Amino acid sequence: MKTKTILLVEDNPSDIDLTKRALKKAHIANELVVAEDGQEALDYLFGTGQYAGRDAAPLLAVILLDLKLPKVDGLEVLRRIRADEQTKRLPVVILTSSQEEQDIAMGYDFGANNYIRKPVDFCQFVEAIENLGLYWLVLNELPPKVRL
Amino acid sequence: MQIKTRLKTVSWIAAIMAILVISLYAWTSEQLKQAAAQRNLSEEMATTHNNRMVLRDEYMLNHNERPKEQWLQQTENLKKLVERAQAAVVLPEQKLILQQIPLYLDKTKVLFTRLVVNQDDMVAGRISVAQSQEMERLVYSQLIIDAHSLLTKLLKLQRISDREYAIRQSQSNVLILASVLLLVCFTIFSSMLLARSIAKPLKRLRDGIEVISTGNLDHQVGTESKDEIGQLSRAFDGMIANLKQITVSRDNLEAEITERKRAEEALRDAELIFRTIFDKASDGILLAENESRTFYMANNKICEMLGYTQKEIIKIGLSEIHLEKDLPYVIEQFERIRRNEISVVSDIPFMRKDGRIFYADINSSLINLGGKDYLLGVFRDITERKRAKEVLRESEEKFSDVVESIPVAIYLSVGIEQKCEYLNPMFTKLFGYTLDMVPTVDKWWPLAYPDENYRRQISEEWTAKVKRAIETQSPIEPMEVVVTCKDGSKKNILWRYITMGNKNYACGLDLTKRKQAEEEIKKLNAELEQRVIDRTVQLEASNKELASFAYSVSHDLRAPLRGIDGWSLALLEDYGEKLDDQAHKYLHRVRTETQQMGRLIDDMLKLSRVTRAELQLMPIDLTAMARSIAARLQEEMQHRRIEFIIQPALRANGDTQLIDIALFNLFDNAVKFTGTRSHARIEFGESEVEGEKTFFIQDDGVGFDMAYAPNLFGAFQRLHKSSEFPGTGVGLATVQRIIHRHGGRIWANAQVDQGATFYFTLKETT
Repeated sequence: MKTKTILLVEDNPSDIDLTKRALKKAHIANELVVAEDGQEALDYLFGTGQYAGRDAAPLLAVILLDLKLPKVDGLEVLRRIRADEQTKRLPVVILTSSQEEQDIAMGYDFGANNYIRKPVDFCQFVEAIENLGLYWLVLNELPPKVRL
Repeated sequence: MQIKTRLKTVSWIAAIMAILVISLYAWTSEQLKQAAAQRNLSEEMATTHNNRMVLRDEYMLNHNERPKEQWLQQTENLKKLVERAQAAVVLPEQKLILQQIPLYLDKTKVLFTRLVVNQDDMVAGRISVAQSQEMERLVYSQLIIDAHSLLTKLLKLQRISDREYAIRQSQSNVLILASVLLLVCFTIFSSMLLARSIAKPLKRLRDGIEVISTGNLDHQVGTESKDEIGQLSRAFDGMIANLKQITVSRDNLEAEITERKRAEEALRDAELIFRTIFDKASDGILLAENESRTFYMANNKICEMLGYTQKEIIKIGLSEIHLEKDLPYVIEQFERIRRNEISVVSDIPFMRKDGRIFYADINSSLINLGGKDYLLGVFRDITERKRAKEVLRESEEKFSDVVESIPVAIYLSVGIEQKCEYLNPMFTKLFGYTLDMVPTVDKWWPLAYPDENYRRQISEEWTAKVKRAIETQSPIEPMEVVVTCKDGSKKNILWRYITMGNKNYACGLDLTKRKQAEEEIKKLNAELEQRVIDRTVQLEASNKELASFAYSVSHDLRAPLRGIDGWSLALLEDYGEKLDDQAHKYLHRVRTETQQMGRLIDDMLKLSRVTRAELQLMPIDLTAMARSIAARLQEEMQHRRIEFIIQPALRANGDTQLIDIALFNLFDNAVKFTGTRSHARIEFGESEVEGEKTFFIQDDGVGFDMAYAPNLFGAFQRLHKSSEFPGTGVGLATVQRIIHRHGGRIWANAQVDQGATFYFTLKETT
């Protein structure tokens, strides 16, 4: 059985690599798809733009979403995910440097399932990713009938 | 008329009237007797005639001689009776009948005679029986008719007589009755009149006596009448007058005795009264012998005033109670009194026995007692009055100075016509008007308020205020108006109105400058407000900038740090074996520094959030909050022994989140700086500092040197080395901001190695 994909929406290449490394260190072997801006993420999700004509809808375990993104920002991406019937139940974890209460509050308001602050200490980051993997990829059952 | 005369007169009149009545009775009896006689005569005539007719018929039956004789006899009798009647009657109809009767008598006599003749003839046979009978029948029938006619006449006569008698009788009765009635009436009337004429003065007399008997001897019964009662009353009056004379002289004597007794008592009382008055008088009284000018008599008051005893005072004279220099003047004044030129000497200086001087007014007069002249002086100490006058004068002067120099325009008007009595200089200075320009309030108004509408408006306002003042029994509220001055300038004046008796003080305060200042302030305020608005806008903009800056910092600044840390770790992990110890050490150093910078950024962001966050004040249970923080710290510092002493029931108003941050920082600090202690003690409580509710957190840690205290709350300021106590130096800055935002103060008290105490207050807002 093919493992479910993790979609990482992140524009900072260093962060992308660090996240990849952290996932690896946390022994999370799911396929990782990276979208480097909000638009690309939406394209990936809804099969538009560069993903137009893709034959099968992606089977997603979780979306790791940065808030500060080029083109379309993270909150907008979240809003669109929640607004679409197909994607509205997808688990979305906001992964960001921002500790602004406003951002956190808005993230939850827009329907984020979790909010992880990227710490400066990489070890702590790995820890957080480990917890995330444990929760979303192992413990949490996907919502029923959602097959993308 | 005398009563005796009156009685005599009445008796006489009564007697005469009685005689008249008797005469009348006699006369009427006579009349009645005559009428009775006539009636008897008529009856007798009728009887006689009747007898005649019986005798005639008897004769006709028997033809005897006796009836014939008797008939003739009777006829003769009747004839005589008729003659008698003719002489007696007076009435014409009786007379007429009596004239006719003899004719009938003669006729019947003739006829009877013929019957007799006829009988005789028959007897005598001169005529036949038949003839005789025929004859007899003819004559007899005639005779019957005539006799009957005669009878009719006689009966008529008798009827008239009867009637006449009856009339006479009734007339007599009426007359007698009337006269008796008259007599009775007269008697009653006269006796009543008489009784009245006697009883009335008698009553007056009795009443008079009654009045006199009550003791009024001046009363006069005095009737004017000349009768016996009049005489009696006059005699009585005379007697009373005599009696009165006697009584009066006795009364006079008694009164004189009483009066004398009373006078003696009065004299005694008066003596006592005058003595008391003299001694108790509030004015000093002094009697001096006119010639020697020594004192003769003095009351207590004058002794008190002069400071001598009664005994001492009568041994001294004028020269002892006056200064030598005043003596000639005083003596001159007394001389004038003696000459009756004056009676009051004012303001005379006196010298007391102890040498003190006082002033008195003397009301003096010259009196004569037992043929000797004395000067009587009544002394009134006017020292007090003089002082009071002086004080009053000074106060008036002061008041006058105040009124003259006060920077308030004063207009004093008097009475209903509000005539101006006084204007102070300020009034003229302020408005340019002098007293002669505004002699009454009516003249002032049109000058001060030339605009008719404005004048009416303030007049109405004024009337309303006066009405309100009367209703509420309070002074008239001040009124602000714009007065036009003589030079045409306008001034803002606040009029205050004070009424004292019939005097009205209008006091005007010039508010023009104040008004201008107020306007200026208003303008400045408006400008300031605008500036505040502008600044606020700017501040809001810079706040926004700051927010976006913070956001960038949090997001963008931390990303490279993460990279540095992450990749340093990757290097260590992936290529660790190829690096020597030194390289490992450097890489660790890189990571430590990076993480420190990450914390710095976080703390800085926290600080800025504290500054920006909006306050939401509500009551906070500080004790509960502190306990929760202590529990968190205890959890983290399980390896340490820390004793938290938290006072119960601490309460304050504040923003829960911010206060929690502040408290946490303070507790965290305390925990941190007691790190070197094996057993730390941290106390949180409340006390009063300078009358203000103050919270404190006290630890027994390393403390600090108070010399550095000013840097304590600066951001990124640290008093300890990082190697000793790690930290960013933002914690206390954050605490201070939070406390300041709550309107409170924070300060610390510490000594090196003696622990530190942080105090803070929170503005008591609800």
